[in-house]
Amino acid sequence: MRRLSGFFGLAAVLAALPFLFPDNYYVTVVGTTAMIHVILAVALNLFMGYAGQISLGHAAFFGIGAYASAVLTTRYGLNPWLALGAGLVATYLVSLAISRPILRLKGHYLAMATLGFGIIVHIFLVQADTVTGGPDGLSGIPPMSLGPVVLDTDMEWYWTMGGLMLATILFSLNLSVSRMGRALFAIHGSEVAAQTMGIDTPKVKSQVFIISALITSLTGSLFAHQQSFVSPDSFGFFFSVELVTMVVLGGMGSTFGAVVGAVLLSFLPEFLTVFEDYEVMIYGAILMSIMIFLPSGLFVAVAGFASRRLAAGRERRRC
Amino acid sequence: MLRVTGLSKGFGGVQAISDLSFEVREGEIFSVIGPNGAGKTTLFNMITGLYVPDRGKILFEESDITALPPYEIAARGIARTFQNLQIFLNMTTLENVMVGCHLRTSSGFIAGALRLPKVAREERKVREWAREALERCGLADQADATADSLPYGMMKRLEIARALASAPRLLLLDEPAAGLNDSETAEMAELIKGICESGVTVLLVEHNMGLVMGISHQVLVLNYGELLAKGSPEDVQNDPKVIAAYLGNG
Ligand SMILES: Nc1ncnc2c1ncn2[C@@H]1O[C@H](COP(=O)(O)OP(=O)(O)OP(=O)(O)O)[C@@H](O)[C@H]1O
Ligand SMILES: [Mg+2]
Repeated sequence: MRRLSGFFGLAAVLAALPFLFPDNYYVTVVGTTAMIHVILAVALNLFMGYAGQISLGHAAFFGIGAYASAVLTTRYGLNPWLALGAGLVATYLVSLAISRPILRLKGHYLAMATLGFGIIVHIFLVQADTVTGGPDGLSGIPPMSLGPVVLDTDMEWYWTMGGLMLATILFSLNLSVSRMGRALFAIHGSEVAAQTMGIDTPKVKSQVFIISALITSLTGSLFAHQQSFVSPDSFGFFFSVELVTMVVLGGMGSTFGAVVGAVLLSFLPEFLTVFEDYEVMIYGAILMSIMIFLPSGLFVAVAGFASRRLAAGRERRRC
Repeated sequence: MLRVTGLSKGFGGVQAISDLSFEVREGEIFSVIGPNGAGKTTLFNMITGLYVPDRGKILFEESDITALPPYEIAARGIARTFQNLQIFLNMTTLENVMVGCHLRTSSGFIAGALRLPKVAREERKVREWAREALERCGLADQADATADSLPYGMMKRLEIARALASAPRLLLLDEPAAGLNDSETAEMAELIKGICESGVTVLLVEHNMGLVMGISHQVLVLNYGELLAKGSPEDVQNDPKVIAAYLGNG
């Protein structure tokens, strides 16, 4: 269970926070947003950090989920869970259709292709206004219920997103020590060698892309109900870049790196008001500095340093 | 076991392999030698499916594997190492070798992410197989080292361990002794002989003549993509055409 000590630590903190700081804005509101970001970053990290690919279009899957839920519940009065399922089906079909042709590309080309995909979806959300409400978005999305509980308070969403976040993290951690997780790392390390070890790399890359997209879409559906309002602004190119920054900031390939990156970038804007005016510039600067000074990411670098110090400490004591 | 007929491959103006035919018998060490640029690595890349031949056929155990995708060829029981190392530098030594067990196991994404009991059992087996392969290649004490921290000679052996972990029937080694010192080369010769004795057929590309002539059952000489000579190590060494080609090339 040592492998999961970080996971259980995080679960304990999550459970304790609302009791330590009852009715605290930073816990219930910012905290819930941070958890949404963590889920998205961990999902993107499967594709980026584990498999070594890049997606500048993940906001589109978040948008497909959110809009499927928003449109189907407000315009057609569908049950929120059915709408969520429809969003997953739509995301599955879209990601399946684009994965094979897109994932043949590498590096810059893959970045451009996913960027293009994200832009197309965003333009669709803005232009198809008879369905999507256009730039103004859709409001009045009904609350969804989880069994007997209608999710309509901040605290209820805190627990819901917390549960989904822990499930996603556990999914990612377990995967990293399994056959397919190693196949992803192998593709990252050397796609040629991965192929000659018997890994069907086009299929595996497509599978991880679809899994990552599905988690993102599911979170998008919940996000729509939590906000009760959606507009295209939340699903544009900039949000895709924000997600990539979270993964890179924490450290690509590390699940807790993605967690740390997402939490930092969710809380920083709350404390640095300059963020509002220079948001785009600050994200750019963070991405650039991490790439130049800490390519392994903040969390991975700090954790590595700490474990070396601990090991060195043990050495000294032994002598 | 492996039969190549009329194989050809060109890159633009360069004819890397032309009309090459040969047969590797089960249980032997079959070596391919030739000057730099003779087309040895290109041949390996075609056998393992990384390059598609322009012409010709590759039969493995009587079935046609020409131009199959690499992962399907691997599934038939052909494993290889690379001249320019292709280690997974983002993983530990043990994990590198565990990737080698991919074809011997079957759990998918969902089973792994949910850590079903079947997966835990599979993981234990994979670890055992991987440690065995590391042991055979003298890397047992490096299991938990990150692969990028290994010295060059160990990386060469790591590639062999990873290939062995897939339990191949045919193993392709592309210059396993390049860059090794004399004692390391001697160890490598022992390792390759041992692999052959354990029932794995070996196709070897190597520039070190001492190594090749010492352990091979058959030797094939390539020159500018064409077969120059083929036979036992003694025959090949005494072949005037071979002597001329090697002296002519410096
Ligand atoms: N992908 C490629 N694109 C273009 N030319 C190539 C490619 N691969 C090999 N060649 C050319 O094919 C010829 C044979 O190359 P190959 O790498 O097979 O030689 P080799 O016998 O392995 O040489 P060495 O002993 O140096 O490893 C060379 O002229 C090389 O430049
Ligand atoms: Mg070569």
